[in-house]
Amino acid sequence: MYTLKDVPVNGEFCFKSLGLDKFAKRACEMGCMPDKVFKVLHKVPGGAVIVTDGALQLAIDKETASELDVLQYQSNT
Amino acid sequence: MTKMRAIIVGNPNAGKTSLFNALSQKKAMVGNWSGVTIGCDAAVCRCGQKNIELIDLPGIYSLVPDKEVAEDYKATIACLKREYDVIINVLSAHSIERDLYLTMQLLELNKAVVICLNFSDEVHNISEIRQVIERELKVPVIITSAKMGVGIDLLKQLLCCNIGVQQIPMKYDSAIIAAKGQFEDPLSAIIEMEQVGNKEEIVNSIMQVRLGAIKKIVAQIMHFKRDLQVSAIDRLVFHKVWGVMIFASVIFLMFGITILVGNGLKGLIEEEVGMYLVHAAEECVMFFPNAQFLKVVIVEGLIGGVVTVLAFLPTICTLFICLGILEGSGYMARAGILADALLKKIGLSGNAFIPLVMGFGCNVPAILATRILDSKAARVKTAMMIPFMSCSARLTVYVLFCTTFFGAYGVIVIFFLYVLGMLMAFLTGYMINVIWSGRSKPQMLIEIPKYRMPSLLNVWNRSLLRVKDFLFDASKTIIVVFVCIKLSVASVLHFGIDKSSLEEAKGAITLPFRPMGLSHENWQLVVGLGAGIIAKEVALGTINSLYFNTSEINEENLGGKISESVVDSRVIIAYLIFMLLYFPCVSVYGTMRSEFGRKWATISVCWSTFLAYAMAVLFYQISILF
Repeated sequence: MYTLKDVPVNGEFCFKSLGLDKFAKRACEMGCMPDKVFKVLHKVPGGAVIVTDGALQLAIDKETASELDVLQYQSNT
Repeated sequence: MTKMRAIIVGNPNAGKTSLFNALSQKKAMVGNWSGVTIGCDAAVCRCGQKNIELIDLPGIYSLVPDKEVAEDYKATIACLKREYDVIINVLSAHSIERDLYLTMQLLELNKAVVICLNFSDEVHNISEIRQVIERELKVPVIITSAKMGVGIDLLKQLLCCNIGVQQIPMKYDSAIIAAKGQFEDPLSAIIEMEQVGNKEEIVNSIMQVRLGAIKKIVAQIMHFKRDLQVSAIDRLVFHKVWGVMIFASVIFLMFGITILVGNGLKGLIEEEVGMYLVHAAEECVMFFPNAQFLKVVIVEGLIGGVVTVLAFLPTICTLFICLGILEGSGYMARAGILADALLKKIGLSGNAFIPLVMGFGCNVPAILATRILDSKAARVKTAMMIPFMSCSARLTVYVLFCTTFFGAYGVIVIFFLYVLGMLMAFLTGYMINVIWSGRSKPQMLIEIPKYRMPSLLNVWNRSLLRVKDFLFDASKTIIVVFVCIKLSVASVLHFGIDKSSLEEAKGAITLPFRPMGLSHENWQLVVGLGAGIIAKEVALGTINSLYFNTSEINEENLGGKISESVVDSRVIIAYLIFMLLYFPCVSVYGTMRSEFGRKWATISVCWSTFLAYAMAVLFYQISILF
């Protein structure tokens, strides 16, 4: 089981499922839809993870990132 | 003439308010971050034989609220429950895939929907996107660029026609259709059925159907460029060292420019406009029988107040323009992300950063902007911190004192005051966090806006709105206070009040401020602090009025007058620390009270005044040891 927090910078991943807890659901509504390829652009020191699907960029703090499950990721490092 | 009501709905930062402004010729606040619009705004737009009442709503991602509902969410849902004829759904052409999720929910409301594809000037193949959406959803789609005025006339023409209610493109299974039918209206069905904590398979199934319909549309839009590269600017902005240095430089530069431009124009206004107004008014009142009385009221009070307000207009205006450029460029949202780690230490997320920075302009809209935060605890905490963010009105006081006493080093003293304010805000947040430990779990999920060249027109309109607020709200109070003070001073001089009583009064009012270095010779400064409770701008006007008890307002320099009675620059810094931190003005108190109740407003007043006194005394007492 991986979460967004585990994905390194430049790593590509898909969110695992829609999820129904508060933040997973909100993430989905904000564009973190399952089966869509995302990439981790940055990990802001001590804080947020910045991801993009190519169209939009989202900043997700590390606590929320540790709650968002992802499918197996490709590290690209 | 027929009437209709149209509501403008869409995701945050999709350009709803820009479209609202373009349709109605209004100048509502716009910006390049999520959550600019606070509350609902209305305007009337004339389209042929129809008068259309337009309602601009705060941005939302979904019709289904979270458990802890943000205030703006409530406002949007309340508007959607009212009677209206058509929904104008604004989509950002950059993020169609995400924005369509809300569109799918809106289509289920059984209302006429018009889709506006905004930011069309920034995306290629927009016509193709329009055709696909129109074909798949069977709704009218207009290509717009609110900023450039594209598609506005076409949208108006469409609103003049009768738009029918569209068929829902999603194919739900019979169980879901039956379940939805049990609710009195489609909006309630969405809100009630899709709440967090409800039956997982139903919610999941509804979301899958919607996402399936979106996928079908997106698959046909071949132009989607998947740019997965990080921009060079963001590499620097989010860097652990450069990021912080860029942030500090931006803030320092902003205040440097503000003071430089403000001071340059201030003298010009005082000498040219101020002198002209005073002389013109003096000549006018000479013809009336009570010339001496009118001179005090009109020339010294009214015109003196107006000149004081006008003299600080360049400073205020420059600050607002700098803030507008930062807001429009997309940097502000990034600074919030950078601040997330720091704000987490006091139980807040990066979302709280924008209201805090807005406090540098004026604390009142900043407190209102806390509505974008999704928990009451986060809102209260942020609002309690905002009065320590030094507003533009306080800047006018700093500029006068710092340029007089510290010359070229004035900018550094002002920067120190701003940093001190931020530290006190942080201390306040930290203390509330300790008391409320475990009460709220801050989480951040922010959309990062694209970098945009700030539109000069938007920056100008935004600054103009803020300046108007300053001029019409603050100046009324300043002028009234000016007139009252001038009358009081004149009556004291005229009736020759016993000098010893006056000395006693001066001694009494300055007594509590002696530990911070003020003496009875500086009683004007203490009275200025009292007047600052009405509005911080009034403090300076009051001090000016008390020092110049003749009509010769512009013949002597106020800074010079103050420096005659206060020779110690440490006293001035202690005074400015008190000015920075004490009682926020009555408008801030009123806003706090209406947003969070009397208890929090009173706590804010007591805490800030206590902190102001303690810090000012501490600074002075420590400084005299060296």
